[in-house]
Amino acid sequence: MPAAIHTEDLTRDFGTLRALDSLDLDVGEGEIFGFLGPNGAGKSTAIRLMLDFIRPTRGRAAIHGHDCQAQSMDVRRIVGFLPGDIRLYPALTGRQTIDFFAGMRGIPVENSGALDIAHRLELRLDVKAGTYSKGNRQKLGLVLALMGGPRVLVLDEPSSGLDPLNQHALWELLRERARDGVTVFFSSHVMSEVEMVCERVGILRKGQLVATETVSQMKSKALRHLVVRFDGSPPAAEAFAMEGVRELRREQSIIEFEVQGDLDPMVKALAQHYVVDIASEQPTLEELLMSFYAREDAT
Amino acid sequence: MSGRGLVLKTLRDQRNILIGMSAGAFLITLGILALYPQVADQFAGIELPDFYDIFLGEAPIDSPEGFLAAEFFSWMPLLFIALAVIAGTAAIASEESNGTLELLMAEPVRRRDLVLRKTLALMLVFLVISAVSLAAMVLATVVVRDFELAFTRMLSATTLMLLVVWFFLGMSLLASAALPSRGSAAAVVTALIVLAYFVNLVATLVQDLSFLQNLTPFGWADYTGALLHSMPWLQALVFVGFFIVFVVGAVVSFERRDIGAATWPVIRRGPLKPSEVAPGGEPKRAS
Repeated sequence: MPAAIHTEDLTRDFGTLRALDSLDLDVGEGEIFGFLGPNGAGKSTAIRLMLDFIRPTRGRAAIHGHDCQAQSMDVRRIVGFLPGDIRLYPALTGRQTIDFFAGMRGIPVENSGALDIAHRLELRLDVKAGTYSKGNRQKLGLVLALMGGPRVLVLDEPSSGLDPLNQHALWELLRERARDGVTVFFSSHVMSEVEMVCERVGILRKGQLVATETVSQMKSKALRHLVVRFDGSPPAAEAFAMEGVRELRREQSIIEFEVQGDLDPMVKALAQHYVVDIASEQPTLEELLMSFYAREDAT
Repeated sequence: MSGRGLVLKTLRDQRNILIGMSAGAFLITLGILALYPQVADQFAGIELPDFYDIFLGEAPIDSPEGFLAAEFFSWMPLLFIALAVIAGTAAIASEESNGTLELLMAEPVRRRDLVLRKTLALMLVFLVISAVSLAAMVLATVVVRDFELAFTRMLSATTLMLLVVWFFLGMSLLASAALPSRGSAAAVVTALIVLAYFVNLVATLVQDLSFLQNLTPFGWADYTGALLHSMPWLQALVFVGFFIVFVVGAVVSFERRDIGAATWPVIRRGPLKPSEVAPGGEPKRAS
């Protein structure tokens, strides 16, 4: 898959503080990529570097082969952007706002898809943006980002302020765009959203990318808890002495394990014994993220 | 990209200033000039002490030129300058403070074009307001008794006033593009205006310091000379030259600086203060 978004050694210092540290990243065409991290991890800095709002201390970013600094006009022609905390012109109605930004892009509103997106997000366009709720401001921001068929969508916390119904409408819109080959790059700290729509995630921690994997890969590597009930006394601890397996609790016929990584050797080991019941807890992405952070803190 | 859209949007943002000031300037100008016959009658044949020359210039107040210089050009340009500072400092910095600049800069518009189109729109605003003032003066020559003044003289003085206003507009745009907030831009420009006005005032009152008038834009703006003689082309060129320098400076500053970061890139390049940094290391947004 050719890289729609490519960064290498992308670094930005603010004075003595390093907000983004040597970000190397490739996001493929048509991919939905989640950029995860707590507030201040550097997500917005990376996005603002891609859009040339700020310049890198070193390194570079490119979108569809266009350098984000040297060819920022070319980049912005093919990128739809939603800022994290969207502010609009309060005196303009939703429709006037769309007209203004469509005019900036030189596209007729009727052909931009904006009105259809607004309809799907149940957004009224005949009222002034200054009277919009946070959710409606977000919807209008999404309309502006998605209209005109950009090849890349860069969205900073896109579901922020949306009710669950509209979140689902948004996710559906993003999946549709991805099916059409649009690359979706969005930052979030809402794990459920990332789980729902993303194919791959990057985890940012204190300006550094600590992991880039598919959601399923990450989950497979995660710690999971197994509570196994045996028929009678459980086997000796040596029966499960293998890499990535740790016994947490042993009580009458029950053993609770913590398993990290591939589950198959553990299943095969259990198959040597008479197992009455197994309870396995799948980690949520939230727990996964916390485990990443915990590991990072430990090192 | 549609440059016209950005120009129209800026004009729309300034429509209150444009409509209010155009109407106000027209009525005030006409109202002031309507008083000319009484003032001329009162001062006819009265020899004022030389001291008054400092304020009235070389034209006597009972002449149309002297009256216009003393009652209109002595203070109306200051009002226009104040509006130019308000509009100019809002042009970029206000968009940034309001958080709309990132949305705008995500569009395929060059930073240079953003500054130039906003500049063009604001130039048009003050061109219209000045033209309306001139129209009121022209009307006064028709309807006000004894107020007889050549159109070219009024045009010269009004053009000079417009150039002065554009000068301060350019300065405000430069501050707006280079500094992170409207407040800081307005504070810097206002301080410079007050300083220039004070220096000019002192230079006017103290003979030994009269050379200082050449150092301030208020000293270069010789409206009485424009009304009595002709367009002071040298001063006009100086104002145009500085305006161009300010706008180029605004473009260069805005091209080079970060958007949405509360820093003073032109003035300081050192580390951020702790108060300027958000948790996690990113700079706080301008406010």
